[in-house]
Amino acid sequence: MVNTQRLYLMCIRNTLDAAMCLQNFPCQEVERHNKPEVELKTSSELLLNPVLICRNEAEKCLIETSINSLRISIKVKQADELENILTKKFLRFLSMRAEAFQVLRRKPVQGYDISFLITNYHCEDMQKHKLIDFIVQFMEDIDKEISELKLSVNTRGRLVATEFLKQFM
Amino acid sequence: MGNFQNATGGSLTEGENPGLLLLRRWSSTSSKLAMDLSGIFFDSLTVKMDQIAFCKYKEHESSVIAAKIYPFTDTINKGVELDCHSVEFDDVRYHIQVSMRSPEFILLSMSLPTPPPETVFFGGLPSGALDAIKEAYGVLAQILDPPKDGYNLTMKLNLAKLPQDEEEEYDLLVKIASLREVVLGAPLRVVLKHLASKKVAADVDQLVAIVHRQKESFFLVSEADKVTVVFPMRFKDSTDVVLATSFLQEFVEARRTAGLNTAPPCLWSPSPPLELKGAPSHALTANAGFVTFVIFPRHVEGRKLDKTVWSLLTFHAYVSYHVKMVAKLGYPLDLPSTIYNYELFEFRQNLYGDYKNARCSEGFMHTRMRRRVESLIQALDRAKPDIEKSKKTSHNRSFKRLSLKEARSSSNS
Repeated sequence: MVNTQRLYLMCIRNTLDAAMCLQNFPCQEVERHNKPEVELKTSSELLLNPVLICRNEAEKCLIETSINSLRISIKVKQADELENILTKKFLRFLSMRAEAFQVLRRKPVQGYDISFLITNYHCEDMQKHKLIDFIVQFMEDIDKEISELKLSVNTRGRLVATEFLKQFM
Repeated sequence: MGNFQNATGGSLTEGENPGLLLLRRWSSTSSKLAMDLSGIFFDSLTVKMDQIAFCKYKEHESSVIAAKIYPFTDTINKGVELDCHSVEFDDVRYHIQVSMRSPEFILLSMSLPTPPPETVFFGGLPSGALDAIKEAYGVLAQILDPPKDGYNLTMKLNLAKLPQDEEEEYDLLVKIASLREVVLGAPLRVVLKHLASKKVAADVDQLVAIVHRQKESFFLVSEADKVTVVFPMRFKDSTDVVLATSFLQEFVEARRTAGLNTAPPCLWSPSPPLELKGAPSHALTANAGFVTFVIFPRHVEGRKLDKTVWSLLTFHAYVSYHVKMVAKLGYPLDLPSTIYNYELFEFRQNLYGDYKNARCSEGFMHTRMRRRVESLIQALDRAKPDIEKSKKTSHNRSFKRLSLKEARSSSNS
Protein backbone atom coordinates (compact mmCIF):
# COMPACT_ATOMS: atom_id res chain seq x y z
CA MET A 1 0.00 0.00 0.00
CA VAL A 2 2.65 2.45 1.09
CA ASN A 3 4.83 1.26 -1.75
CA THR A 4 2.27 1.92 -4.45
CA GLN A 5 1.70 5.39 -3.07
CA ARG A 6 5.39 6.09 -3.25
CA LEU A 7 5.49 5.01 -6.86
CA TYR A 8 2.43 7.10 -7.67
CA LEU A 9 3.93 10.18 -6.10
CA MET A 10 7.30 9.50 -7.73
CA CYS A 11 5.62 9.33 -11.10
CA ILE A 12 3.87 12.63 -10.49
CA ARG A 13 7.10 14.18 -9.33
CA ASN A 14 8.97 13.13 -12.47
CA THR A 15 6.15 14.24 -14.75
CA LEU A 16 6.01 17.63 -13.09
CA ASP A 17 9.74 17.93 -13.33
CA ALA A 18 9.55 17.40 -17.06
CA ALA A 19 6.44 19.48 -17.59
CA MET A 20 7.47 22.51 -15.60
CA CYS A 21 9.49 24.33 -18.23
CA LEU A 22 7.46 27.46 -18.59
CA GLN A 23 8.37 30.70 -20.29
CA ASN A 24 6.87 34.12 -20.47
CA PHE A 25 4.43 34.28 -23.35
CA PRO A 26 2.18 37.27 -23.99
CA CYS A 27 -1.26 36.64 -25.37
CA GLN A 28 -1.44 36.26 -29.13
CA GLU A 29 -4.95 37.65 -29.55
CA VAL A 30 -4.99 40.67 -27.32
CA GLU A 31 -2.14 43.09 -27.18
CA ARG A 32 -0.45 43.71 -23.82
CA HIS A 33 -2.27 40.83 -22.21
CA ASN A 34 -0.53 37.91 -20.60
CA LYS A 35 -2.78 35.05 -19.64
CA PRO A 36 -2.28 31.44 -18.63
CA GLU A 37 -2.80 29.62 -21.91
CA VAL A 38 -3.83 26.38 -20.24
CA GLU A 39 -6.94 28.10 -18.89
CA LEU A 40 -7.91 29.92 -22.07
CA LYS A 41 -7.02 27.26 -24.61
CA THR A 42 -7.34 29.78 -27.44
CA SER A 43 -4.56 28.49 -29.65
CA SER A 44 -3.87 24.80 -29.87
CA GLU A 45 -0.23 25.25 -30.87
CA LEU A 46 0.53 26.56 -27.38
CA LEU A 47 -0.86 23.53 -25.56
CA LEU A 48 0.92 20.29 -24.88
CA ASN A 49 -0.61 16.88 -24.41
CA PRO A 50 -2.23 16.43 -21.01
CA VAL A 51 -0.89 13.61 -18.87
CA LEU A 52 -3.21 11.52 -16.72
CA ILE A 53 -1.62 9.52 -13.92
CA CYS A 54 -3.89 7.00 -12.19
CA ARG A 55 -3.19 5.00 -9.10
CA ASN A 56 -6.60 3.39 -9.35
CA GLU A 57 -10.03 4.43 -10.52
CA ALA A 58 -10.70 6.64 -7.56
CA GLU A 59 -7.31 8.25 -7.31
CA LYS A 60 -5.84 10.13 -10.22
CA CYS A 61 -3.92 13.19 -11.20
CA LEU A 62 -4.26 15.19 -14.41
CA ILE A 63 -1.40 17.41 -15.54
CA GLU A 64 -2.17 19.82 -18.34
CA THR A 65 0.62 21.95 -19.75
CA SER A 66 0.94 24.92 -22.04
CA ILE A 67 3.72 27.29 -22.97
CA ASN A 68 3.36 29.59 -19.99
CA SER A 69 1.26 27.70 -17.47
CA LEU A 70 0.60 24.33 -15.96
CA ARG A 71 -2.53 22.95 -14.35
CA ILE A 72 -2.52 20.04 -11.92
CA SER A 73 -5.84 18.51 -10.88
CA ILE A 74 -6.06 15.87 -8.21
CA LYS A 75 -8.77 13.40 -7.36
CA VAL A 76 -8.48 12.12 -3.82
CA LYS A 77 -9.57 8.61 -2.92
CA GLN A 78 -12.90 8.35 -1.13
CA ALA A 79 -13.55 4.86 0.13
CA ASP A 80 -16.94 5.55 1.71
CA GLU A 81 -19.47 8.30 2.21
CA LEU A 82 -17.86 9.52 5.39
CA GLU A 83 -14.53 10.02 3.61
CA ASN A 84 -16.38 11.72 0.81
CA ILE A 85 -17.88 14.26 3.20
CA LEU A 86 -14.64 14.83 5.03
CA THR A 87 -12.72 15.30 1.78
CA LYS A 88 -15.27 17.77 0.51
CA LYS A 89 -15.17 19.75 3.72
CA PHE A 90 -11.41 19.78 3.99
CA LEU A 91 -10.79 20.73 0.38
CA ARG A 92 -13.40 23.44 0.58
CA PHE A 93 -11.60 24.73 3.61
CA LEU A 94 -8.38 24.81 1.60
CA SER A 95 -9.92 26.39 -1.48
CA MET A 96 -11.33 29.17 0.63
CA ARG A 97 -7.79 29.96 1.64
CA ALA A 98 -6.48 29.86 -1.93
CA GLU A 99 -5.08 33.36 -1.50
CA ALA A 100 -2.55 32.07 0.96
CA PHE A 101 -1.36 29.41 -1.47
CA GLN A 102 -0.51 31.40 -4.56
CA VAL A 103 -0.66 28.34 -6.80
CA LEU A 104 -4.01 26.94 -5.64
CA ARG A 105 -6.98 27.32 -7.96
CA ARG A 106 -10.16 28.55 -6.34
CA LYS A 107 -12.27 25.99 -8.11
CA PRO A 108 -11.20 22.50 -9.05
CA VAL A 109 -11.40 21.36 -12.65
CA GLN A 110 -14.58 19.41 -13.26
CA GLY A 111 -14.29 15.80 -12.16
CA TYR A 112 -11.46 16.52 -9.73
CA ASP A 113 -11.29 17.53 -6.12
CA ILE A 114 -8.64 20.19 -6.14
CA SER A 115 -6.55 21.96 -8.77
CA PHE A 116 -3.36 24.00 -8.92
CA LEU A 117 -2.46 26.56 -11.53
CA ILE A 118 1.24 27.31 -11.91
CA THR A 119 2.33 30.10 -14.23
CA ASN A 120 5.74 31.14 -15.41
CA TYR A 121 5.67 33.94 -12.84
CA HIS A 122 5.37 31.43 -10.03
CA CYS A 123 8.35 29.58 -11.45
CA GLU A 124 10.32 32.81 -11.50
CA ASP A 125 9.46 33.60 -7.90
CA MET A 126 9.99 30.16 -6.51
CA GLN A 127 12.44 27.40 -6.95
CA LYS A 128 11.10 24.76 -9.26
CA HIS A 129 12.13 21.69 -7.34
CA LYS A 130 10.80 23.10 -4.09
CA LEU A 131 7.51 23.88 -5.80
CA ILE A 132 7.29 20.26 -6.90
CA ASP A 133 8.13 19.21 -3.36
CA PHE A 134 5.21 21.29 -2.18
CA ILE A 135 2.74 19.68 -4.57
CA VAL A 136 3.82 16.21 -3.54
CA GLN A 137 3.71 17.05 0.15
CA PHE A 138 0.28 18.52 -0.36
CA MET A 139 -0.97 15.26 -1.81
CA GLU A 140 0.56 13.24 0.98
CA ASP A 141 -0.89 15.55 3.62
CA ILE A 142 -4.39 15.42 2.22
CA ASP A 143 -4.43 11.64 2.42
CA LYS A 144 -3.03 11.72 5.92
CA GLU A 145 -5.43 14.39 7.10
CA ILE A 146 -8.50 12.64 5.71
CA SER A 147 -7.65 9.37 7.39
CA GLU A 148 -6.91 11.13 10.68
CA LEU A 149 -10.14 13.08 10.50
CA LYS A 150 -12.03 9.89 9.86
CA LEU A 151 -10.38 8.27 12.81
CA SER A 152 -11.22 11.19 15.06
CA VAL A 153 -14.85 11.18 13.96
CA ASN A 154 -15.03 7.49 14.80
CA THR A 155 -13.34 8.02 18.15
CA ARG A 156 -15.78 10.76 18.95
CA GLY A 157 -18.67 8.53 17.96
CA ARG A 158 -17.31 5.85 20.26
CA LEU A 159 -17.08 8.29 23.14
CA VAL A 160 -20.58 9.59 22.55
CA ALA A 161 -21.91 6.03 22.48
CA THR A 162 -19.99 4.96 25.56
CA GLU A 163 -21.25 7.91 27.56
CA PHE A 164 -24.81 7.19 26.54
CA LEU A 165 -24.61 3.54 27.46
CA LYS A 166 -22.93 4.35 30.77
CA GLN A 167 -26.13 6.04 31.88
CA PHE A 168 -27.81 2.68 32.13
CA MET A 169 -25.20 1.13 34.37
CA MET B 1 -21.47 35.34 28.52
CA GLY B 2 -21.72 37.09 31.82
CA ASN B 3 -25.47 37.10 32.04
CA PHE B 4 -25.71 33.45 31.50
CA GLN B 5 -23.20 32.59 34.15
CA ASN B 6 -25.02 34.77 36.58
CA ALA B 7 -28.11 32.88 35.74
CA THR B 8 -26.66 29.49 36.45
CA GLY B 9 -24.62 30.62 39.37
CA GLY B 10 -27.74 31.76 41.11
CA SER B 11 -25.91 34.25 43.24
CA LEU B 12 -28.12 36.82 44.80
CA THR B 13 -27.65 40.34 46.02
CA GLU B 14 -30.12 42.39 47.98
CA GLY B 15 -32.46 44.75 46.22
CA GLU B 16 -32.41 43.07 42.85
CA ASN B 17 -35.29 42.81 40.47
CA PRO B 18 -37.52 40.11 41.91
CA GLY B 19 -38.06 38.79 38.38
CA LEU B 20 -34.39 38.04 38.08
CA LEU B 21 -34.52 36.44 41.45
CA LEU B 22 -37.28 34.10 40.48
CA LEU B 23 -35.60 33.17 37.24
CA ARG B 24 -32.32 32.65 38.90
CA ARG B 25 -33.94 30.25 41.24
CA TRP B 26 -35.51 28.41 38.36
CA SER B 27 -32.32 28.33 36.44
CA SER B 28 -30.36 27.04 39.34
CA THR B 29 -32.10 23.77 38.77
CA SER B 30 -30.13 23.77 35.51
CA SER B 31 -32.77 21.98 33.54
CA LYS B 32 -33.62 22.86 30.00
CA LEU B 33 -36.91 24.50 30.81
CA ALA B 34 -35.29 26.65 33.44
CA MET B 35 -32.50 27.58 31.07
CA ASP B 36 -35.09 28.73 28.58
CA LEU B 37 -36.72 30.85 31.16
CA SER B 38 -33.60 32.66 32.10
CA GLY B 39 -32.58 32.81 28.46
CA ILE B 40 -35.70 34.59 27.40
CA PHE B 41 -35.60 36.89 30.31
CA PHE B 42 -32.07 37.99 29.72
CA ASP B 43 -32.86 38.25 26.05
CA SER B 44 -29.29 37.54 25.16
CA LEU B 45 -29.35 33.82 25.14
CA THR B 46 -30.12 32.57 21.70
CA VAL B 47 -29.46 28.93 21.97
CA LYS B 48 -30.29 26.37 19.36
CA MET B 49 -32.57 24.15 21.27
CA ASP B 50 -31.90 20.81 19.74
CA GLN B 51 -28.20 21.28 20.21
CA ILE B 52 -28.53 21.11 23.93
CA ALA B 53 -30.63 18.07 24.14
CA PHE B 54 -28.66 16.30 26.74
CA CYS B 55 -27.93 19.25 28.94
CA LYS B 56 -30.33 18.05 31.56
CA TYR B 57 -30.49 15.82 34.42
CA LYS B 58 -27.05 15.65 35.75
CA GLU B 59 -27.89 18.17 38.39
CA HIS B 60 -28.02 15.62 41.14
CA GLU B 61 -24.31 15.08 40.82
CA SER B 62 -23.50 18.67 40.23
CA SER B 63 -22.54 20.42 43.42
CA VAL B 64 -21.96 23.64 41.50
CA ILE B 65 -25.61 24.05 40.77
CA ALA B 66 -27.22 22.34 43.68
CA ALA B 67 -25.42 24.65 46.04
CA LYS B 68 -27.79 27.57 45.83
CA ILE B 69 -31.47 27.22 46.34
CA TYR B 70 -33.35 29.95 48.07
CA PRO B 71 -36.80 29.54 49.51
CA PHE B 72 -39.45 30.72 47.16
CA THR B 73 -41.43 32.53 49.78
CA ASP B 74 -39.37 35.74 49.47
CA THR B 75 -40.47 36.40 45.95
CA ILE B 76 -44.10 35.79 46.55
CA ASN B 77 -44.40 38.98 48.52
CA LYS B 78 -42.49 41.11 46.06
CA GLY B 79 -44.66 40.29 43.06
CA VAL B 80 -43.48 39.70 39.53
CA GLU B 81 -45.16 40.20 36.20
CA LEU B 82 -43.99 37.57 33.77
CA ASP B 83 -45.21 36.33 30.41
CA CYS B 84 -42.80 34.42 28.28
CA HIS B 85 -42.78 31.87 25.52
CA SER B 86 -40.04 29.37 25.19
CA VAL B 87 -39.11 26.70 22.69
CA GLU B 88 -37.33 23.50 23.47
CA PHE B 89 -35.80 20.92 21.16
CA ASP B 90 -38.08 18.60 19.19
CA ASP B 91 -40.98 21.03 18.99
CA VAL B 92 -41.88 21.32 22.62
CA ARG B 93 -43.05 24.82 23.50
CA TYR B 94 -43.75 26.42 26.85
CA HIS B 95 -45.63 29.47 27.93
CA ILE B 96 -45.12 30.78 31.43
CA GLN B 97 -47.26 33.43 33.04
CA VAL B 98 -47.12 35.03 36.45
CA SER B 99 -49.43 37.90 37.25
CA MET B 100 -49.05 40.70 39.79
CA ARG B 101 -52.38 40.01 41.38
CA SER B 102 -51.70 36.47 42.45
CA PRO B 103 -47.93 36.06 42.50
CA GLU B 104 -48.01 32.68 44.18
CA PHE B 105 -49.51 31.09 41.07
CA ILE B 106 -47.55 30.25 37.95
CA LEU B 107 -49.43 29.28 34.83
CA LEU B 108 -47.35 26.84 32.86
CA SER B 109 -48.57 25.73 29.44
CA MET B 110 -46.89 23.18 27.27
CA SER B 111 -47.38 22.21 23.66
CA LEU B 112 -46.18 18.87 22.33
CA PRO B 113 -44.94 17.79 18.91
CA THR B 114 -47.69 16.63 16.55
CA PRO B 115 -48.17 12.92 17.20
CA PRO B 116 -48.08 10.45 14.32
CA PRO B 117 -51.28 8.40 13.90
CA GLU B 118 -49.92 5.23 15.55
CA THR B 119 -49.44 6.85 18.97
CA VAL B 120 -52.20 6.77 21.54
CA PHE B 121 -53.30 10.24 22.63
CA PHE B 122 -56.15 11.10 24.98
CA GLY B 123 -57.29 14.70 24.87
CA GLY B 124 -54.03 15.94 23.42
CA LEU B 125 -51.80 14.13 25.88
CA PRO B 126 -50.04 10.76 25.72
CA SER B 127 -51.87 8.02 27.56
CA GLY B 128 -51.14 8.01 31.24
CA ALA B 129 -49.76 11.56 31.22
CA LEU B 130 -52.43 12.97 33.53
CA ASP B 131 -51.78 10.31 36.14
CA ALA B 132 -48.05 10.88 35.82
CA ILE B 133 -48.47 14.61 36.41
CA LYS B 134 -50.61 14.01 39.46
CA GLU B 135 -48.12 11.53 40.81
CA ALA B 136 -45.13 13.77 40.19
CA TYR B 137 -46.46 17.10 41.46
CA GLY B 138 -49.24 16.20 43.84
CA VAL B 139 -51.05 19.18 45.31
CA LEU B 140 -48.60 21.65 43.85
CA ALA B 141 -50.05 21.50 40.35
CA GLN B 142 -53.60 21.87 39.27
CA ILE B 143 -54.43 20.88 35.71
CA LEU B 144 -56.71 23.30 33.92
CA ASP B 145 -59.25 21.86 31.55
CA PRO B 146 -59.45 22.84 28.75
CA PRO B 147 -55.83 23.96 28.28
CA LYS B 148 -54.93 27.32 26.79
CA ASP B 149 -55.49 27.76 23.09
CA GLY B 150 -52.69 26.18 21.07
CA TYR B 151 -51.29 24.18 23.97
CA ASN B 152 -51.78 20.60 25.02
CA LEU B 153 -51.52 21.13 28.74
CA THR B 154 -51.94 24.00 31.14
CA MET B 155 -50.99 23.70 34.79
CA LYS B 156 -51.46 26.11 37.63
CA LEU B 157 -48.55 25.81 40.04
CA ASN B 158 -49.20 26.96 43.55
CA LEU B 159 -45.90 28.08 45.01
CA ALA B 160 -47.39 28.42 48.44
CA LYS B 161 -47.59 24.65 48.55
CA LEU B 162 -43.91 24.04 47.96
CA PRO B 163 -42.46 21.86 50.70
CA GLN B 164 -40.60 23.64 53.48
CA ASP B 165 -37.65 21.31 53.47
CA GLU B 166 -34.96 22.61 51.09
CA GLU B 167 -34.03 19.21 49.70
CA GLU B 168 -37.60 18.31 48.94
CA GLU B 169 -38.23 21.71 47.45
CA TYR B 170 -35.22 21.34 45.21
CA ASP B 171 -36.27 17.91 44.05
CA LEU B 172 -39.71 19.19 43.23
CA LEU B 173 -38.36 22.15 41.29
CA VAL B 174 -36.20 19.82 39.27
CA LYS B 175 -39.25 17.74 38.57
CA ILE B 176 -41.26 20.72 37.40
CA ALA B 177 -38.42 21.71 35.15
CA SER B 178 -38.43 18.25 33.63
CA LEU B 179 -42.09 18.45 32.74
CA ARG B 180 -41.23 17.20 29.27
CA GLU B 181 -40.12 13.89 30.63
CA VAL B 182 -43.17 13.50 32.83
CA VAL B 183 -45.63 14.14 30.01
CA LEU B 184 -44.00 12.62 26.94
CA GLY B 185 -42.36 9.81 28.85
CA ALA B 186 -45.52 8.74 30.67
CA PRO B 187 -46.33 5.68 28.50
CA LEU B 188 -42.66 4.69 28.47
CA ARG B 189 -42.51 4.93 32.23
CA VAL B 190 -45.58 2.73 32.59
CA VAL B 191 -44.07 0.00 30.44
CA LEU B 192 -40.71 0.15 32.19
CA LYS B 193 -42.37 0.11 35.59
CA HIS B 194 -44.18 -3.07 34.66
CA LEU B 195 -40.84 -4.49 33.61
CA ALA B 196 -39.30 -3.51 36.94
CA SER B 197 -42.05 -5.25 38.83
CA LYS B 198 -41.72 -8.17 36.41
CA LYS B 199 -45.29 -8.38 35.32
CA VAL B 200 -46.55 -7.56 31.85
CA ALA B 201 -49.77 -5.64 32.00
CA ALA B 202 -52.59 -7.41 30.21
CA ASP B 203 -54.05 -4.28 28.69
CA VAL B 204 -50.79 -3.05 27.14
CA ASP B 205 -50.58 -3.62 23.40
CA GLN B 206 -47.78 -5.66 21.98
CA LEU B 207 -46.34 -2.72 20.09
CA VAL B 208 -46.42 0.67 21.78
CA ALA B 209 -45.55 3.82 19.85
CA ILE B 210 -44.26 6.85 21.72
CA VAL B 211 -43.98 10.23 20.11
CA HIS B 212 -40.62 11.92 20.53
CA ARG B 213 -40.38 14.30 17.62
CA GLN B 214 -42.69 16.08 15.22
CA LYS B 215 -44.73 13.31 13.55
CA GLU B 216 -42.18 10.70 14.57
CA SER B 217 -42.32 8.01 17.16
CA PHE B 218 -40.25 5.18 18.51
CA PHE B 219 -41.55 1.74 19.42
CA LEU B 220 -41.62 -0.50 22.45
CA VAL B 221 -42.16 -4.24 22.41
CA SER B 222 -42.68 -5.54 25.90
CA GLU B 223 -42.12 -9.12 26.91
CA ALA B 224 -42.07 -10.79 30.31
CA ASP B 225 -38.38 -10.26 31.03
CA LYS B 226 -37.34 -7.49 28.65
CA VAL B 227 -38.51 -4.49 26.70
CA THR B 228 -37.17 -3.91 23.20
CA VAL B 229 -36.96 -0.28 22.15
CA VAL B 230 -36.64 0.48 18.44
CA PHE B 231 -35.72 3.94 17.16
CA PRO B 232 -36.18 4.71 13.48
CA MET B 233 -33.47 7.33 12.94
CA ARG B 234 -34.23 10.07 10.45
CA PHE B 235 -32.17 13.11 9.56
CA LYS B 236 -32.89 15.86 7.10
CA ASP B 237 -29.40 16.69 5.96
CA SER B 238 -27.47 14.17 3.85
CA THR B 239 -24.25 14.91 5.74
CA ASP B 240 -26.03 14.27 9.01
CA VAL B 241 -27.27 10.93 7.70
CA VAL B 242 -23.75 9.73 6.92
CA LEU B 243 -22.28 10.92 10.20
CA ALA B 244 -25.17 9.53 12.20
CA THR B 245 -24.86 6.16 10.50
CA SER B 246 -21.23 5.93 11.49
CA PHE B 247 -22.04 7.10 15.02
CA LEU B 248 -24.80 4.57 15.45
CA GLN B 249 -22.51 1.76 14.39
CA GLU B 250 -20.15 2.95 17.10
CA PHE B 251 -22.94 2.36 19.60
CA VAL B 252 -22.93 -1.30 18.67
CA GLU B 253 -19.14 -1.43 18.87
CA ALA B 254 -19.03 0.41 22.18
CA ARG B 255 -21.45 -2.04 23.74
CA ARG B 256 -19.01 -4.86 23.00
CA THR B 257 -16.20 -3.32 25.04
CA ALA B 258 -15.53 -4.91 28.38
CA GLY B 259 -16.63 -2.03 30.59
CA LEU B 260 -20.16 -1.93 29.25
CA ASN B 261 -21.20 -5.53 29.68
CA THR B 262 -24.23 -4.65 31.72
CA ALA B 263 -25.46 -1.84 29.46
CA PRO B 264 -28.49 -2.62 27.29
CA PRO B 265 -27.56 -4.66 24.20
CA CYS B 266 -27.60 -2.42 21.18
CA LEU B 267 -28.17 -3.25 17.53
CA TRP B 268 -28.16 -1.21 14.37
CA SER B 269 -29.57 -2.25 11.01
CA PRO B 270 -30.33 -0.35 7.84
CA SER B 271 -33.64 -2.22 7.40
CA PRO B 272 -36.52 -2.41 9.90
CA PRO B 273 -35.99 -5.14 12.51
CA LEU B 274 -38.48 -7.98 13.02
CA GLU B 275 -40.00 -6.31 16.06
CA LEU B 276 -41.61 -3.69 13.86
CA LYS B 277 -43.73 -6.21 11.95
CA GLY B 278 -47.00 -4.69 13.08
CA ALA B 279 -45.97 -1.08 12.60
CA PRO B 280 -47.54 1.15 9.94
CA SER B 281 -45.57 1.45 6.71
CA HIS B 282 -44.65 5.13 7.10
CA ALA B 283 -42.80 4.25 10.29
CA LEU B 284 -40.63 1.76 8.47
CA THR B 285 -38.63 4.23 6.47
CA ALA B 286 -35.61 5.73 8.15
CA ASN B 287 -32.65 7.13 6.26
CA ALA B 288 -30.14 6.48 9.03
CA GLY B 289 -31.31 2.99 9.88
CA PHE B 290 -32.88 1.51 13.00
CA VAL B 291 -31.39 1.30 16.48
CA THR B 292 -32.59 -1.32 18.91
CA PHE B 293 -31.98 -1.31 22.64
CA VAL B 294 -32.99 -4.20 24.82
CA ILE B 295 -33.88 -3.04 28.32
CA PHE B 296 -33.72 -5.60 31.11
CA PRO B 297 -35.17 -5.28 34.62
CA ARG B 298 -31.71 -4.41 35.96
CA HIS B 299 -31.79 -1.14 33.95
CA VAL B 300 -34.99 0.09 35.52
CA GLU B 301 -34.75 -0.94 39.12
CA GLY B 302 -35.09 1.72 41.79
CA ARG B 303 -33.65 5.12 40.99
CA LYS B 304 -32.36 4.00 37.60
CA LEU B 305 -35.87 4.23 36.18
CA ASP B 306 -35.84 8.04 35.90
CA LYS B 307 -32.50 8.08 34.19
CA THR B 308 -33.46 5.36 31.73
CA VAL B 309 -36.70 7.09 30.81
CA TRP B 310 -34.89 10.35 30.17
CA SER B 311 -32.08 8.73 28.17
CA LEU B 312 -34.45 6.85 25.92
CA LEU B 313 -36.73 9.80 25.44
CA THR B 314 -33.90 12.07 24.32
CA PHE B 315 -31.87 9.50 22.42
CA HIS B 316 -32.53 11.07 19.04
CA ALA B 317 -31.74 14.54 20.30
CA TYR B 318 -28.55 13.27 21.90
CA VAL B 319 -27.29 11.70 18.68
CA SER B 320 -28.36 14.65 16.59
CA TYR B 321 -26.58 17.08 18.91
CA HIS B 322 -23.29 15.27 18.52
CA VAL B 323 -23.73 14.76 14.80
CA LYS B 324 -24.30 18.46 14.35
CA MET B 325 -21.24 19.28 16.37
CA VAL B 326 -19.10 17.21 14.04
CA ALA B 327 -20.96 18.22 10.89
CA LYS B 328 -20.34 21.86 11.62
CA LEU B 329 -16.63 21.09 11.89
CA GLY B 330 -16.75 21.90 15.51
CA TYR B 331 -18.39 25.12 16.50
CA PRO B 332 -18.83 27.95 14.11
CA LEU B 333 -17.06 30.87 15.66
CA ASP B 334 -19.95 33.31 15.54
CA LEU B 335 -22.22 31.34 17.85
CA PRO B 336 -22.85 33.02 21.16
CA SER B 337 -20.37 31.96 23.74
CA THR B 338 -23.16 30.55 25.82
CA ILE B 339 -22.85 27.38 23.83
CA TYR B 340 -19.28 27.10 24.94
CA ASN B 341 -20.41 27.65 28.48
CA TYR B 342 -22.87 24.88 28.07
CA GLU B 343 -20.19 22.68 26.74
CA LEU B 344 -17.75 23.47 29.52
CA PHE B 345 -20.51 23.04 32.01
CA GLU B 346 -21.13 19.62 30.62
CA PHE B 347 -17.48 18.78 30.72
CA ARG B 348 -17.37 19.76 34.32
CA GLN B 349 -19.94 17.11 34.83
CA ASN B 350 -17.64 14.62 33.22
CA LEU B 351 -19.77 13.83 30.26
CA TYR B 352 -16.60 13.19 28.35
CA GLY B 353 -14.59 11.58 31.05
CA ASP B 354 -11.82 10.65 28.65
CA TYR B 355 -11.22 14.08 27.26
CA LYS B 356 -8.41 15.53 29.30
CA ASN B 357 -8.99 19.03 28.05
CA ALA B 358 -12.42 20.53 27.74
CA ARG B 359 -11.31 22.74 24.89
CA CYS B 360 -10.12 19.90 22.76
CA SER B 361 -13.46 19.12 21.24
CA GLU B 362 -14.26 22.74 20.64
CA GLY B 363 -13.89 22.93 16.93
CA PHE B 364 -11.45 20.10 16.93
CA MET B 365 -11.64 19.63 13.20
CA HIS B 366 -11.34 23.32 12.53
CA THR B 367 -8.21 23.64 14.59
CA ARG B 368 -6.67 20.62 12.96
CA MET B 369 -7.35 21.84 9.48
CA ARG B 370 -6.02 25.30 10.22
CA ARG B 371 -2.84 23.79 11.55
CA ARG B 372 -2.52 21.71 8.40
CA VAL B 373 -2.98 24.79 6.23
CA GLU B 374 -0.23 26.54 8.14
CA SER B 375 2.19 23.69 7.65
CA LEU B 376 1.39 23.59 3.93
CA ILE B 377 1.93 27.32 3.56
CA GLN B 378 5.27 26.88 5.24
CA ALA B 379 6.15 24.22 2.71
CA LEU B 380 5.26 26.64 -0.07
CA ASP B 381 7.29 29.41 1.52
CA ARG B 382 10.27 27.16 1.49
CA ALA B 383 10.09 27.23 -2.30
CA LYS B 384 10.74 30.95 -2.38
CA PRO B 385 14.39 31.89 -2.57
CA ASP B 386 15.61 34.12 0.23
CA ILE B 387 15.38 37.37 -1.67
CA GLU B 388 15.00 39.49 1.38
CA LYS B 389 17.94 38.00 3.11
CA SER B 390 20.33 38.53 0.22
CA LYS B 391 19.06 42.08 -0.22
CA LYS B 392 19.68 42.81 3.39
CA THR B 393 23.27 41.66 3.31
CA SER B 394 24.08 43.64 0.19
CA HIS B 395 22.35 46.61 1.71
CA ASN B 396 24.54 46.37 4.70
CA ARG B 397 27.61 46.14 2.59
CA SER B 398 26.92 49.13 0.40
CA PHE B 399 25.95 51.45 3.21
CA LYS B 400 28.37 50.42 5.84
CA ARG B 401 28.46 53.05 8.50
CA LEU B 402 31.99 54.21 9.13
CA SER B 403 33.13 56.00 12.16
CA LEU B 404 34.75 59.40 11.62
CA LYS B 405 38.20 58.09 12.20
CA GLU B 406 37.82 55.27 9.76
CA ALA B 407 36.41 57.59 7.14
CA ARG B 408 39.39 59.87 7.38
CA SER B 409 41.87 57.12 7.26
CA SER B 410 40.20 55.54 4.26
CA SER B 411 40.05 58.85 2.39
CA ASN B 412 43.67 59.59 3.22
CA SER B 413 44.96 56.35 1.96
